[in-house]
Amino acid sequence: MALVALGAVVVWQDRLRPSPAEPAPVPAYEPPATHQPVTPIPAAHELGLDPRKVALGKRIFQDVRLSQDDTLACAGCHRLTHAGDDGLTVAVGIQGRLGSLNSPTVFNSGFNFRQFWDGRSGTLEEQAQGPIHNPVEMASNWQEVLAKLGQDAAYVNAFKAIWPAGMTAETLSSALAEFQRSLTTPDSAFDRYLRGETAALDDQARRGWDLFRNLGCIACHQGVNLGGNMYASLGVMGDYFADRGKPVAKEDLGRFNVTGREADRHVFKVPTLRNVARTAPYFHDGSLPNLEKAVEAMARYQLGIRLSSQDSQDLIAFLTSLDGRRPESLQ
Amino acid sequence: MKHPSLDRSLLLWGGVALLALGLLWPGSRGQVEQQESLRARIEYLQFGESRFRELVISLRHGLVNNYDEANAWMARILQARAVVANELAGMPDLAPAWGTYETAVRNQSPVWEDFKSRNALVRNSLRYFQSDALNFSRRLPQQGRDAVVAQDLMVLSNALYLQALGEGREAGDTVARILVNEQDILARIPVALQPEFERLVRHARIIGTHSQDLATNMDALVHSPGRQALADLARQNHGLLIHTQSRAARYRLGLTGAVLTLALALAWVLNRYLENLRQSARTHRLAGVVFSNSQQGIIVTDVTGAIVQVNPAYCDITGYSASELVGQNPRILSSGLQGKAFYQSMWRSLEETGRWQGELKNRRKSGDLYVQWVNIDAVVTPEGERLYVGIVTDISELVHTREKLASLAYYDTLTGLPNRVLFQDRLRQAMVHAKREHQAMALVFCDLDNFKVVNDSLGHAAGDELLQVVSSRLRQAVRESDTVARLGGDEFAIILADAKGPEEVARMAGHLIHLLSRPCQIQGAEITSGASLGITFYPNDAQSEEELLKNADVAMYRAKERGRNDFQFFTGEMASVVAETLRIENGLRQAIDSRQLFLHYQPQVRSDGRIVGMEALMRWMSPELGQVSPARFIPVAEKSGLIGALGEFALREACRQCALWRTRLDPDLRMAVNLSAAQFRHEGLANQVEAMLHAFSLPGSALELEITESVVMEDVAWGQEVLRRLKALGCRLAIDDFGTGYSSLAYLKRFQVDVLKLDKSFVDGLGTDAVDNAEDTAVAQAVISLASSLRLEVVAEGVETAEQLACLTRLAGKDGFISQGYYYAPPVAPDQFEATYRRLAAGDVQN
Repeated sequence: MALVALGAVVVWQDRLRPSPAEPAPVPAYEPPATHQPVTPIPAAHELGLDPRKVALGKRIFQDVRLSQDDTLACAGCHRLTHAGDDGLTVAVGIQGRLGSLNSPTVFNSGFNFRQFWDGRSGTLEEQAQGPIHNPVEMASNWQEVLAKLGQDAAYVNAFKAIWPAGMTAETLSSALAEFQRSLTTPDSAFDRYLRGETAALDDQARRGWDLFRNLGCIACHQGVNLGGNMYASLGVMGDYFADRGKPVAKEDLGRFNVTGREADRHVFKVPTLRNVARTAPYFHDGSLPNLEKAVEAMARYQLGIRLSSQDSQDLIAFLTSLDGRRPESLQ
Repeated sequence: MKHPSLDRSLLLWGGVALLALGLLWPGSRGQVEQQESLRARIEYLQFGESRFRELVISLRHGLVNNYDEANAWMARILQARAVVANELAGMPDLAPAWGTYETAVRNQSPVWEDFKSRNALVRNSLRYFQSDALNFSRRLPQQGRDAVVAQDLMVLSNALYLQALGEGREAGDTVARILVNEQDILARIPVALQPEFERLVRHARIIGTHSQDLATNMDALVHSPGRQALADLARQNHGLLIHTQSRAARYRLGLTGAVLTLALALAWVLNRYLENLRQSARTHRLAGVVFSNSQQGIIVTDVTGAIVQVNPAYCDITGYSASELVGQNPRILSSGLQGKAFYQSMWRSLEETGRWQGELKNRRKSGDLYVQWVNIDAVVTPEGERLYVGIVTDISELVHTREKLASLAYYDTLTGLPNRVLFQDRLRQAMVHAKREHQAMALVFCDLDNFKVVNDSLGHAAGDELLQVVSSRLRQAVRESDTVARLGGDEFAIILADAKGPEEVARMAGHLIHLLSRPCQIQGAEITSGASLGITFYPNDAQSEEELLKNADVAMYRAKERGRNDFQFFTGEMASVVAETLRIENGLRQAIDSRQLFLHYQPQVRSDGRIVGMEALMRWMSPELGQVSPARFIPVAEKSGLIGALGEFALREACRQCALWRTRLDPDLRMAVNLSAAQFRHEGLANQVEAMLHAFSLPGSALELEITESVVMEDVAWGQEVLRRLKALGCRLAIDDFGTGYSSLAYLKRFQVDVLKLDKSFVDGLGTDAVDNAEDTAVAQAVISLASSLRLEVVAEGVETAEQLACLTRLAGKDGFISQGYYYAPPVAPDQFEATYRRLAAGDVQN
């Protein structure tokens, strides 16, 4: 009998061995293997997102209780009625506190390889905590936010229905991130052109697209998001910061603030050009008020050339063709 | 007989059996699963790493201009790495190799970021520098004191180009030396041009500063130590896996023996017991204890087969309770898988010998099949009643193991379908069966339409999953008696025994295509994989197995050509395609011996008018097929292995002719000969060339061997070795059709190539007003300037007009070039070559 018992114990112990961990979730977007420098942006429904998380994230995104004094939601700076940004030079936080960087658009942000101008967050999930904690933005913290939202039974139930753990900092971030991944703006004239609908671009925009490639803009602004997949130094062919006339602040150091490497001074994440015509002002400091000025500055400081006014207008026609349809989750 | 000892020995047996089960069985199985899963993940990582490396190289050379996919691979690698790290927790043997890999991956991320930024920078600056430098130098004074500046710019331009190609340090020195004199040069430049010059210098400095670092970045990414570490890891894990598997197999065999022995021993013991039933009441009680505690199932029936009694173990095995079974016939457990004959022989044995033993497949109450080992004995009670006592061991698990062992050789491990070996066996059986029964049999080949896309874009794991989905769909669609097999890759074969006719098979094929074109969820993505089917009938279409397979294959390819997601029956007309290929193949066999193959020669003329050599071009005049173009017969020759003989013939003939013309026309003439891919892959190529040169007393420099870019790039390491050997013989090496394939410029220099042949397609548009003229001019200029930088000669192919020649002359400048084409002469037979040569030598180009 002792032997039988021993056998049973061995069998039982074997069952208790932990099973291998499941792989982390795969990213929603799988870029195609292609020689093309730019690929059309997919619509939200092609990404296999969880509609419950998207809907929940959408509500939280617009909830002012995420800020310390219940006045500012994510959507305050990343305005969903606009192109996912605020149209201001720099972000404005609670009680009118001025930030130091231009708010980037949340539209298509799910395709960026990293988040923030200096790329300090690897994922949208990780990014969410930034503005919540930033004293000149929402000036709050997870504890505060969870306590306030925890009193809202509708939220508590919605979270419980999706995650057994209920509402936590992680699941909150996850819902926000899933919503932002749904903010894709498909079917721009240029995407339709890429899909073979040649008439979608007029002659001027087509000339602009040729220039965009021939002048070398494409070297950095490529991929599905025309940007947002690499870092680049601002001021390769000229000293942008010397000419700007404003003293260099900490935010102007870009990626240097993250790595501390000299080579990363003034290095920023290349921003996406999707919907660029609607997201003025431009650059990390918001100092270029319109596309003419932005295109001219890019040509001067990154490529070392001066554009003719015809070329500049052609490029703007091309950039305007990057305006996409409103995200599906906002319709 | 001592009953208590029997009792004890029974318990002992049971204990030993359980212990064996507990210790040996699940332990090793869990380990195998863990190692299998690790193997899959390491393979995924290896695949990801190699795709990533490929992308880095492509990005560096501008073949891909989009960082998205590489970024995605970087992210997937990091993700997979985290999972593997978790799985490896319990496997200390693999820790060192894994540690090396982790470090490598960690180091790789920042290097990749630097690579992207630098690559964008260098590629842009290089392009600006080249075009600006050219424009700029045109506007500078070309003569006098200031001409030096233009000269310096040319040298600088070439040096930078080489440096950007990764051709390293000397170029870097040149750049540095020239840039030191920047102020000096600036002073000699007209003021109006100075800003432009400064911009030029700025680009030059960017290239100068970053290309060395870029090369270092690329080197670190491409030759990351992670690659070796992963390979080590895979090897070590494989070793462990083999070890565990063989241990598990040994254990299972041992266990099979143990359990069977146990069953036999128990049968023996019980038999003795039952015989003693009549003699001892105590024995009787003991028997009761044994009966209800036995691990084996025991069933007692009367002579009619009605169940009198069962023990708890028997109830456990069958899933029925005792009350449900008593009074019933064991037939209720029957699975129907054993025929009438089986039961008849069992009863015969029981009646004649009083016992039967064997394997029996039955069905549990739940409907599950199980396999039992049964010993039945006929016994007689003290009261004189005849009973049958069956002792039953559930050996399902054992049988499963046995089948699994057998399937390693006959079944595809991924899909569980019969593999090629078993398929051929089944096909033979089906053919024999069809012949005997005078029925038709259909063979269907099925090839997935976009398996490669799925594999390339989503990875091997997704591809595997897709194959599993397809297998189960195919399996479900056909009858039990039909065979679905996986022949390899994404190729499946289906044997439809007893095919009622083309209509029924067509319906079936349509159904299969419908099933396979339904979307399926693979790793979160919705994938639709269509399939193309080829169908052939036995005995109508073919008599032999080989023919049948070839037919199905041809029909399947036809379905693919017709737009995929379709099926095709093999037809007589397809037979003619098969036959045509065979005709070429057979024709070729005789062609060499019966002198149907011969060479034509086209002269190559340098821009100074001198005839430097000729290219040998193969021609075939077949008595049956007429003039056959090399584009048609070379591929057939490569597939059928005839290329060896063809290549040798061409080489010998060309060498012979060359030796002749060198004595009669010009001792410096050289002969250009094309090498096919198969020739290039052949180990003995260099020896063959050496033998030919020796046979005709030619120096190596008389022979120019032409290869295409893709052939060398197929296997770079091998390519480099072959070229090195040919080079050692003194032969000249030419890259044929340059510009049409994916050239890795960086390799050109390493391969010690002497000549670039500019493809005819780029020469065509030169010197005309055609729209693509500008593009052709740009390509021609790029090739010529590249050749000049690397000090290579350029041979322009297909030069037909004076305009093209003039244009090339302008582009080449003082370096000159060589032309080949109808402008000078078409390829001519050897007997006309001398006349052509003399005409050209006399300066008469009008032919």
